[in-house]
Amino acid sequence: MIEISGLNKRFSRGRSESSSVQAVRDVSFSIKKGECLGVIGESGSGKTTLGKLLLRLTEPDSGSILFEGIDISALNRREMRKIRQRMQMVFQDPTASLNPCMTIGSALSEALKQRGVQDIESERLRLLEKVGLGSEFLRRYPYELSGGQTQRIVLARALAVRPVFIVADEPTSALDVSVQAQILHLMKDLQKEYGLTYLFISHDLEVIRYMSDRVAVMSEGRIIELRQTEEVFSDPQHPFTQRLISENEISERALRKFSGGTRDIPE
Amino acid sequence: MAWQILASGWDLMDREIFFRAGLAIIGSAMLIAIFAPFLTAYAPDEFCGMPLSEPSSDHLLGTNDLGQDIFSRLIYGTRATLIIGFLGALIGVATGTLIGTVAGYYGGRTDEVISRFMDVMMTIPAFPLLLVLSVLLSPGIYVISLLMGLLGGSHSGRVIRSQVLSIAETNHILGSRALGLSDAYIMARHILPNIMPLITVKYVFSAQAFMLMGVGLGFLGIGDVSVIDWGQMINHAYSSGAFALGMWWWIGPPGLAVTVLSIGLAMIGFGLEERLNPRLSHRNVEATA
Amino acid sequence: MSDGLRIRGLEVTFMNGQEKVRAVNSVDLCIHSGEKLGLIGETGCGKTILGMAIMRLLNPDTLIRGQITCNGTSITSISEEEMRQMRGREIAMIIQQSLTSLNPVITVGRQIAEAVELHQGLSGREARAEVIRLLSEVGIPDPEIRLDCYPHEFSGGMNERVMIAMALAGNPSFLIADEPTTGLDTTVKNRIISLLKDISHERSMLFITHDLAAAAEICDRIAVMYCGEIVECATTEDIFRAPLHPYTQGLLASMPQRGLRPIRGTGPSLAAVPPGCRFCNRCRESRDCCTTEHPELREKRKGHYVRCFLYD
Repeated sequence: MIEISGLNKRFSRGRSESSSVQAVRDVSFSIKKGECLGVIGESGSGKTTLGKLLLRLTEPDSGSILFEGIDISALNRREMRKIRQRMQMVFQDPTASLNPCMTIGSALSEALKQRGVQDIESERLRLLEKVGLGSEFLRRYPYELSGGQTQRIVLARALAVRPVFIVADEPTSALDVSVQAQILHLMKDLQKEYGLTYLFISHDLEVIRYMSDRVAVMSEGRIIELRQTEEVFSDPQHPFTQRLISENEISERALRKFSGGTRDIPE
Repeated sequence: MAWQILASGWDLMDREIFFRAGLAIIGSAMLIAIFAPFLTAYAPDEFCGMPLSEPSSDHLLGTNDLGQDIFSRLIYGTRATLIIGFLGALIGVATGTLIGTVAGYYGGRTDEVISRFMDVMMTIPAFPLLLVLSVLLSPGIYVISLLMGLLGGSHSGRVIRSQVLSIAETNHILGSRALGLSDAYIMARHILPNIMPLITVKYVFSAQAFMLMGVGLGFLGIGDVSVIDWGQMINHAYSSGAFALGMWWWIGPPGLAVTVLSIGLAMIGFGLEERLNPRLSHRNVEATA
Repeated sequence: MSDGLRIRGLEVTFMNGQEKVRAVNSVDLCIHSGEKLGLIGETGCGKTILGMAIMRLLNPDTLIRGQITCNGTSITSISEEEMRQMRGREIAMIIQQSLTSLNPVITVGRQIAEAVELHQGLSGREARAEVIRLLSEVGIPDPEIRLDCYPHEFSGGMNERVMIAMALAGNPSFLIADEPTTGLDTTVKNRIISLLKDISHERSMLFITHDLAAAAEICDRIAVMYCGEIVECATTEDIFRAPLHPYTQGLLASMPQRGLRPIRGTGPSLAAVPPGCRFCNRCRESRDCCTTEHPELREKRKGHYVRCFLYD
């Protein structure tokens, strides 16, 4: 479904040439329809930029992005807007993801109008139901919602335009553990129900392991490894990947020590 | 000890009181301007009494050297003052919002061009330029308001631009762009409502500044002579020797009126700034627990 | 034992205009000298507020009831001036979100020096030497050069170390660390955790976090907080191997490492707390009595406290 080749993006900080950062360096990969491709890497590795580039929310310096066969990197603004609905993004920080001045109902209506939906009232309720929220949320403002509820609304809004591809940039990193579990399950269910394709970006290895079919490891703007999830975890090839995995092991050490008796908590 | 009492009193004196007082003053001024004919016994230009007479039951503030009723002139003068202030600020803030939003949203080249333009506009001294234009063109108060607004727009423009710059990068704007909403729509429906607080405060303070500028122009004898305004009244009083003759009922009221309105607007601005912040503070309790 | 920190019946209530929000409800805690207690809970449970209450850093019009004693001194009854003397010297706090907690226009060295000057009474060259010593104690390389840097020139992990250095400036015997690992990459997190272990050798620590793995690594005992109350308190091993309270069990089960099983529903907001057990709307084991009666914290096994009718 998606084919990237030779993608590059440089950010310049300030006027001088020397203070610029090559965020994405010659990146090429493809994503199959219905797959979830995970992207792991540390902060500053370029993973967020990659996500934005795919949606052309940031303009690439060079390279091509083929989306369902069309090279979207060559489209003008108007043509791009027509394709936008097929690819959506979910961000990390729930507090900044919704317009604080708009009620949830208005935000959903706005997205539905984009698709050209006639019966907005019932569509809105259906969307809320799909993400596990009740109709009382229509009247609420973003500041009244918890982090988990906000991410559900963000998902609902993204789904409103019936996308086929969603870039999720650290969608659960700002959430508590139990809420994270709820949102990840929701995302998996939605993927099955709507046949979605995901690009799932995270720095949390355990989350990536749960969500992804294949994993791309990023470091300093480059993809250094791209294989099946279990292969990356059981047999990491690149030294950087090996380091990431061993650091993860270290942080899990204590947990592992204590998990002897109760791996499966009784229902 | 006394200092502590004073300081705690300040807290208690909640900005709400300022805000309400300011609203009361400006509200009254607007009512006075609208209902001027009902509040005065005489028309402002009417020659209705003995020149230079002292305050009496007939003429509450006496008469000027032309025998016109000062009280009536004061009441009618409210109109010009308010129009220049409010209209000028409206044009100024509207202009500033437009260019500031476009610059902040698009960034890049567009931003550079607009910012240079704003920088240039800001270096032009507005008041002297207004003076020159007024002398050359003898404009009416509406044109004066327009000129003021256009010249002063860049001040609001800069501030609005920086707010918009930071809003434009937030996730909900990115999300809106991802939905395929048009730029114009996003600027109008997503960015504008979020900068309304800033715009409102700027508006109030601009109104204050323009109002004073208008009075200043009147005082210098420039500005619209067909309309009564307080600046002109003071000028008129001065050149008729009212100061020398100690005619406080002619000199005092216009100056006092300007001061009161100016303070009223400042108090509204003050109170607004306070109101606009609590929305942030009540979230904190839950968020940081 | 007069050492360590003892909290008895702590209640913290916020006045939000007309609303009263009780963020911390009747908390009893005890941290012995040299012990590290983890305070685990999710956003909005009141754990940060608890930490701030111990330091008396909350807004003056917040209502605080109950007793807090630190090394024999009753924190709740001393004056503000006396509390000021204690802050930094006997108890210090490492505040969360280091990036926004450091002054961006003052160099890092200057900020630590302020703490050093205040708590140790040093100045000038001696203060500078002490700052360098602290910076190297927290593992910042080239401290003589680094102390002239500004916070934005440092990475997240280094800023966290700076915050820790500032907390250590007065050589306190008791540390409160509030979410020191949030927002950091795994590699950096591991380093910070091992730093925290090093510096807490002879000190007592209250480690506030929602990162369960980090708590497992550092703490001797763990208290689990839910909706303003402590619902379980036991040794780290007991909490992870044999948790008793349904919330603790649910929390552990929702970790990706343990099956990613979510707890259904959402917790009540602190402003609208239900009568009875606060967890019952999400609890699989709830019975009739749970909705109307409020369970107390009881010692079920030696050193293992739990607040649940299942065990009464």
